[in-house]
Amino acid sequence: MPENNNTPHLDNIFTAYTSGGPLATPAGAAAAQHVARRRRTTRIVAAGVLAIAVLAATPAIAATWTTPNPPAPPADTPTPTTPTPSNSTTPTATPSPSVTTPTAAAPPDGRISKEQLGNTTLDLPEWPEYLKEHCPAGRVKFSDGTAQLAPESELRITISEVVHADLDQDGAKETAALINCSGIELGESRVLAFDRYASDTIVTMGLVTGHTGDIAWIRGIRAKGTAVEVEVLDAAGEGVVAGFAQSQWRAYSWSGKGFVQSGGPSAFPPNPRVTDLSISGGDVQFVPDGADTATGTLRLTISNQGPQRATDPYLRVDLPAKVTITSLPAKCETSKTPSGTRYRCWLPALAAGADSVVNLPLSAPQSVLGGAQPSQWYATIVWGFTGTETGDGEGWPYPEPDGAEGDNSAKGNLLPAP
Amino acid sequence: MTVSMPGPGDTREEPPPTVAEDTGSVVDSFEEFYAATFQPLLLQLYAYTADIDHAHDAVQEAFSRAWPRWNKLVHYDHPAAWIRTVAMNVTRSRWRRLRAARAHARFRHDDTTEGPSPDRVALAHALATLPEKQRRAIVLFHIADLSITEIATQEATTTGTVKSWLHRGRAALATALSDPGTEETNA
Repeated sequence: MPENNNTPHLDNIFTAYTSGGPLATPAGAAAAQHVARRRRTTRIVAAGVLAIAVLAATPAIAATWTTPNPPAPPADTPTPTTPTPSNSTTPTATPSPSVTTPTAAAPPDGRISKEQLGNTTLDLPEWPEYLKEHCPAGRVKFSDGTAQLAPESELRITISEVVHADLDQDGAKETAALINCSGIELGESRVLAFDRYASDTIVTMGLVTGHTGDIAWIRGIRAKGTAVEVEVLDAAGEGVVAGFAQSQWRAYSWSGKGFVQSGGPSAFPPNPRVTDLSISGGDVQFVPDGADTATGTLRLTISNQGPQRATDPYLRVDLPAKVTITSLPAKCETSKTPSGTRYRCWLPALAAGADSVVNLPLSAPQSVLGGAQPSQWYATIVWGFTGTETGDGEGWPYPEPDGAEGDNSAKGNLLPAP
Repeated sequence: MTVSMPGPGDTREEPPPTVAEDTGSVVDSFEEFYAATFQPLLLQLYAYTADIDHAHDAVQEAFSRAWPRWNKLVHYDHPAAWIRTVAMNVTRSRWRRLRAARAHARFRHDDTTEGPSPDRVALAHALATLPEKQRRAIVLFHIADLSITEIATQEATTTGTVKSWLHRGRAALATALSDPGTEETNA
């Protein structure tokens, strides 16, 4: 114990501090869960909104192509296609790595290893606005593949992958690097291209791509001819359930001024795992069916407002203690909760635009229903849920479309017999 | 596929878990855990920050982060310690504070609370005058009820250092509380 002879009254003050009443009204567990769920979906939704703009803009960008050997323009439909960048005219005089002093005639070797790149000073373009005060830009010194604004910074830059290709078609290869600046729950990934001057100085060619349009994360890069192919995802972040994100390889090529998409799909199709489910139901009127018991029917209407078919809707119904469902749907589990019973049911697939009514016959002792406050039922509907109660990386359900979460739960009263 | 982000989703801010033996007992629900631990955690965070809104948002933020991991956290010896550490970390970074406020401020029930009592305000404000380590030690020892050994483990230091923080912190706190500038109560 610390000595406290100089502060004898402190213990009383601490006791008073901790023993008083509540400090503030809690926002509630549901609010905390809501924020966690919102975070999962924000990126996906933002990407979906922007996808249309990209579709419209990409052909215009492709039209500015100025090299004599234009790669194929990007597909204008979201159907994944095989990227077809042109590489047939690439000069074959690739410099050997052993050439350390390029002659005046030879283009400088722009192949920079991941280790070299990660232990030098690079010119990095600005990060998006929300990351500017956390991710260094301009002249940034890297050490062991990472860079930070300050040692205790929340976010840091990491060079995760490096590939080499003759991006500017000068006969020597340049370097494309997958770089991200990220911290807890948040981050941006981008692909940058680097070259060398004859003086051996590393120079930044430019940004190949980042989180533009519907790109929520970049998972990998590879060289393909004079293009760099980028594996992009439509969803990212903590809580995105396994199997949810879609991925595509998109190709980007140097136009002489900057990088433009030159192959692969230009947009993601709608994510087949996002659809708008809803649930509704009214109060349950119980009627006596014996000396002490009463029965009623909880009628729940589950709707799929689209746009996708929900393959495995998952219904959860919470009932107070001693109120039971006497006939359950085919695939259900029952568990105890602190306040009663939880029924978890996997329902048949529901097509977009379809409704389904679930009638749950209830039974309860009349004494349970007659309290001063009416007892309540509470039900939620989601899908893609694989079975764990509160969810983790594997068990979370698929997210709802933006703003469509409000109708995924319903509640009502359990009214005693008159 | 689960997206592998080197940063997001990593756990470097989180305390190492201490896994309890599975006793086969009924697992508490997240809601029940929240109901039981919110007020004590809020008191600890308010003492640590002297700002009721920051404290509230930080605790909510920690619960939000706990929920996706609840299946793991529930097996820890002290899941509330995880929440407290995450919440304290949230308050220590301006960026995380802003992020937590953006996420959680609209869920606060500001209209239904009177705010902290004058006694509590006085203690929190006096604590706010202490150096961070001393304040943290005092909050953990006197309000979160951790032992000196537990604090030393959590802060990766020796019990002697913790005792020294507590000793100096208590002295400074006594001074701050008797300073007319911060004395707001007749307790």
